[in-house]
Amino acid sequence: MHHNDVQFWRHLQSLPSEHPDLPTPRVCRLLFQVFERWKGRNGWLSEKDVGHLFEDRDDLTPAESESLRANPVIVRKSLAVRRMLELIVDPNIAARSGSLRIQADELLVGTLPPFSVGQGKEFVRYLKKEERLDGELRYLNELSPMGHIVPNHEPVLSRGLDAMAKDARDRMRSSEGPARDFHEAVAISLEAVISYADSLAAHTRAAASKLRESDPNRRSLETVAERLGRVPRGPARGFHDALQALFVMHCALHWTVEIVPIGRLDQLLQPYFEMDRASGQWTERELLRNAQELLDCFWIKLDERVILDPRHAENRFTSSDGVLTGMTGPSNYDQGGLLNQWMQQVTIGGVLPTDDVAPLDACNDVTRLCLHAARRLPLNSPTLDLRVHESTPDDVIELAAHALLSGGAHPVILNDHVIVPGLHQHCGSPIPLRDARNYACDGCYETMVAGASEFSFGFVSALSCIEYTLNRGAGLAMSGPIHLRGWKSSWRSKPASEIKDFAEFLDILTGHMQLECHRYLGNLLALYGNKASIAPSPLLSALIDGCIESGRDLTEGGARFHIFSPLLVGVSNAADSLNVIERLVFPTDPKDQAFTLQELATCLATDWGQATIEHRAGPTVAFGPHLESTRIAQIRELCLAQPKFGFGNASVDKHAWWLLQSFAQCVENARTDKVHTAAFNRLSEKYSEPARPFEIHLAPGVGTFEQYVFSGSFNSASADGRPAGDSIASDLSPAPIPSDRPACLDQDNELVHQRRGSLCTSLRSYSNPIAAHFADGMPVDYNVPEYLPLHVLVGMIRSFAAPGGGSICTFTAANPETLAGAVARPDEHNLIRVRMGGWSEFFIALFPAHQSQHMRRPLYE
Amino acid sequence: MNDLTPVSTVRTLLPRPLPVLDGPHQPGIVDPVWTVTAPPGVDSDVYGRLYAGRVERQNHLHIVTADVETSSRHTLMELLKALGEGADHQMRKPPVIEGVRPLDLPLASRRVTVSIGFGASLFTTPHGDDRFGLAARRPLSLKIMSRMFGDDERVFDPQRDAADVIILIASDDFYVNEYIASLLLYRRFHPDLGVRRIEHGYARPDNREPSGFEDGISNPTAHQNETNSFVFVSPVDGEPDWCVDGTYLGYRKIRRRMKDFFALRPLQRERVFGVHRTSGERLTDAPPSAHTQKMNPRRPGPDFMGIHDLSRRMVRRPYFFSEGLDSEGEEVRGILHLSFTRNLAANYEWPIQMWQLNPDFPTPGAGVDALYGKDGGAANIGGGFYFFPPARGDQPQFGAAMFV
Repeated sequence: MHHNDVQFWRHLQSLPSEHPDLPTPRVCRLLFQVFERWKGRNGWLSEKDVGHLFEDRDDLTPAESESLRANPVIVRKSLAVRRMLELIVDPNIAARSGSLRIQADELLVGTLPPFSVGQGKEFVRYLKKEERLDGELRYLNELSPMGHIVPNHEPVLSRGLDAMAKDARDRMRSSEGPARDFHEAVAISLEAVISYADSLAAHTRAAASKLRESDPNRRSLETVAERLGRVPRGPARGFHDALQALFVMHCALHWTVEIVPIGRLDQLLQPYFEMDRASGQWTERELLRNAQELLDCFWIKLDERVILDPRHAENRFTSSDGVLTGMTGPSNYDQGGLLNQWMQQVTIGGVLPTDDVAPLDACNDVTRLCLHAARRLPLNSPTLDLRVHESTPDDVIELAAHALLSGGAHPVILNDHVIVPGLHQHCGSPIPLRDARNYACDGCYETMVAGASEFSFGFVSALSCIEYTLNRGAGLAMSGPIHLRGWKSSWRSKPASEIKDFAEFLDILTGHMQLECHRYLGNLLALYGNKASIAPSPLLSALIDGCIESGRDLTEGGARFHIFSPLLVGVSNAADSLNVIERLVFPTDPKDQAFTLQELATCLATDWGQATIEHRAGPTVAFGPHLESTRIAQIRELCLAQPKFGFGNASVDKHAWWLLQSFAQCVENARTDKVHTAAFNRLSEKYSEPARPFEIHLAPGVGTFEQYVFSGSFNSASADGRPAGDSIASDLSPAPIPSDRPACLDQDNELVHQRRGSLCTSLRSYSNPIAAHFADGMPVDYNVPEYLPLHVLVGMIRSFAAPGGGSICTFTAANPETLAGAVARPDEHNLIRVRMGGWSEFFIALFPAHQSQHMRRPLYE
Repeated sequence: MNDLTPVSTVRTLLPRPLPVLDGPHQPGIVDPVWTVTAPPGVDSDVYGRLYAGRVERQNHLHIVTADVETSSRHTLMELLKALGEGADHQMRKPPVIEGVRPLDLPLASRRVTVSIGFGASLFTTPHGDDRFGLAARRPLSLKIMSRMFGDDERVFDPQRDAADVIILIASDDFYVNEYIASLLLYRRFHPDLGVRRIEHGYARPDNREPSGFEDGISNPTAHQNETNSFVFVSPVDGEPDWCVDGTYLGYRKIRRRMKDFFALRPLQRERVFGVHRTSGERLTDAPPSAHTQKMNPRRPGPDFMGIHDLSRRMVRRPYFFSEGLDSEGEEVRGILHLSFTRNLAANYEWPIQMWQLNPDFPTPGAGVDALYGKDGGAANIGGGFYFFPPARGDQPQFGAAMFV
């Protein structure tokens, strides 16, 4: 593991020439250039560069503008796609924005945008004035596509875009109304990508011509240009073709505001690797070397837009960016925690998409090449997701462990024994087994049927449900002079003073959780399809099974599967809090009661005594029963001293599993409750087809992703001792040490973490049959020391991803000293990467609150 | 073409070459330079060995670092225009004859060059702001210098010392440099250009640095038709177009505490450098930490990046400084180590970080460059990275292409 680029290069310099950690000279040179790029600030398209499709354009006649204006929204969107892909290869715009760069060493050409989930996007506007207003009334605009959806690149590789566009044109001619518009929009979008590839070819040829005749890169770039003339226009004829075609398509999607992952890359590419193998042109050694070099180049391409300094961030967000289906209100979330999150997930491994009773392992040559790339190249993207099952080969597990210990915090480990049954059986009507087995991760770790799903998610806060239970349906965070009891959010339940025992407490809590689930589903059903008239996705729809066949856009029920995930947030902090309440408020023997529920409510409402008002009788809580500060401090110490979830302690873990069981049941209750029947029927009538009834699959999950700071900011202090507004645990990870307590103590010049655990023991906290009801996954993010022995990690991966094991796990390798050093001397730690939930981030690119949370996460060995 | 008319057939006294004011590159980087071929009547062997293609530095150098005290892109353009014109004027104006005594030899030129470089902070401030909308136009490897082994952190913080602009003023007369530097100091070039620091150095005609060893011994020379290819950005380098014909400067102000070095016996001193002092030839038994072994390896094949060691050279243009004694009575002198290269990262930072300061190069356990050890007494007390755009040429103003 290397902390900085200097260390990394020195290490490579020390290796013998055939060492497996040593990429080819070309890859090293490209990587070196990318590192240099990271040290500056990215170029961005200006709003003026991008402009509008038909408004304020000097290059259009009034008639031309009107002609563009007269098109339906979805066709205008596709024309905007075309214009965007023309603008980014304009040399003047490219010089200002970095939208087109071709290096002499490149084997794959194309440039990704700097658009990230945190920094926002730019795109050619195409709405009319009245449509803009209509959209903004519902917080929608041209930037509303939210990514997160796994495209199916297979037809791009096997058929090529010419054939796909021709098919769309044929369908257009034989259809009418919205379907005709949709197919036309698909055809225009695909043809735009072909033109984009042609432009790339021309620029590559020009770049080649600048090189000396004797320069081997001249011939190499000419070959790249020639290839771009063939793919993605036509079918790929080998591994290099396939990777180039996929990359062009990926660039085109990202430039046109579809920030999407890549999918099951090993399954997509292996047939083309086999083509190369069958050609007999290369020895097996050459074949692997060439493919590895190409894949390494691809990895580097996906990382060109890294920023290492959070002050280099742009903020192009509007109130309507990346809208989650079913959400209303302005789009705001923890942008600062998402600066380098481009949703570029690559899923590998797992099982083949068959209906066979016994699953067949899907690992292949490309699986292993991907793991090598993840280990050798100190990058944050793509985030690699490795699906594991009991027949996953040992060498794949070992490669994964090596990659994790190299410091990239990837691959993510997903347990097929949990996820596949979850998708197949536990998210509404069954998803066919072969499809469930073909899942891939979205831009984080969420699961969906690859290339056949639309997807979105929403959050339910477990900590909020506890607050509502303690506080008669109101959140405690805003308790005080303005809102008195707090922010009223749920139905009014019994006062804390009248809750007689822990069972009743849980019962009330369940009621609040149920309401949250109903609200999530109610909003989803009410708002479903509302993007179609403002922000359709014709290009992405071309790569989602079902859309072309149904003649409907992804945003309008076109996909084969409609998977939506209500996510329970803050489970670990909530479980720790429930443990405190059961042990200290409602102990088996009432004599052991340490404090009352009312006293606890006052502690939390005052943020453990920090938020009081000055009263004539002295400092006190603004509303509710007074409590002396000494008593509050005493109660907090008792709370902090209680055992925590995630360390294999069954007496605490049971509360997490109760929360999860209850949540899964609440989601199912909501799905089947007649209160939503009319809404379900409305959608069914609108979108069902004779051979394909419209079905919404609700796949529950546990996840904060990188929103652990943001999510915690809404919650009051919690009974586990956490201060108000403090970050919560990420995903289903154990809770971090509260921010006002030291995470580490200096003992004999060594930083000793104050919350440590055993990996092996922790497994007990994460193995439970209810996990299979969470098809969207419930990840635990482990922090482990850099010196963790390889065999320990291999054993942990095997155990975690076994039948009866956990759901999803991630591992960040970093010693406490390393993270502390990175805060103090960022330049000397510019390669330290940490797990943000669904993806990896450079630690020094994080704002301090995130850095602090990572340093406070427990350390496992 | 410079005027190299021999004045004697017995002892050839060559007029020193003049700056090249109308080339594609800024003057003062690889010029004034001796012509590649010997002038008529000059011993070609001697000339070829000692002059041909070699840079003939002016006697004195002032290094001025300054900051742009505006956030207006338009004002920056005006400032660069004024700076470019001011520099041009100072380089082209004839020597002042006022006050020259009647019997003094007439002076044709004071060989003035004023070279202007941009720091990374001009493109993105240390706080991360893109104040002029130039972030995307940054030369690819221009950055604020990172801390490195050998820095004297009591006096040198590369982040703190990073300036927006550097101006190298060179001439054969100290007072000429002083005059131009004072124009900058008094904001006569532009009111929004605030001088941060002025350093000055002198050139020894024999290129030997304070301990008596030649510096820049491995410089590529025009004789080998190499200099420009090592120094100036070419269209194939992947740099922004406006950078073509420009160059990077890696600058370190290296203090040398010579007491321990001069206490060594001559042979021991040679082992610090790894060369014979008088001839510059490499020692056959130099320790792996010797300066030459660390900074100028000559491995037979390419490295793991496919690059030969000889391809990682830079052009050094050293000057020496002496600032008396510090408060502890120790000498403050050393070398203003100026290196020009077309690729700062690959040809400057790489040799320093991968070779010179890498304790495991060229062999495991070799240690860092002995110059930075007790015997060598070297410490970095200043420096920074800058990019020198091409000469104005037919552009309306200096640096104009950067704003396109």
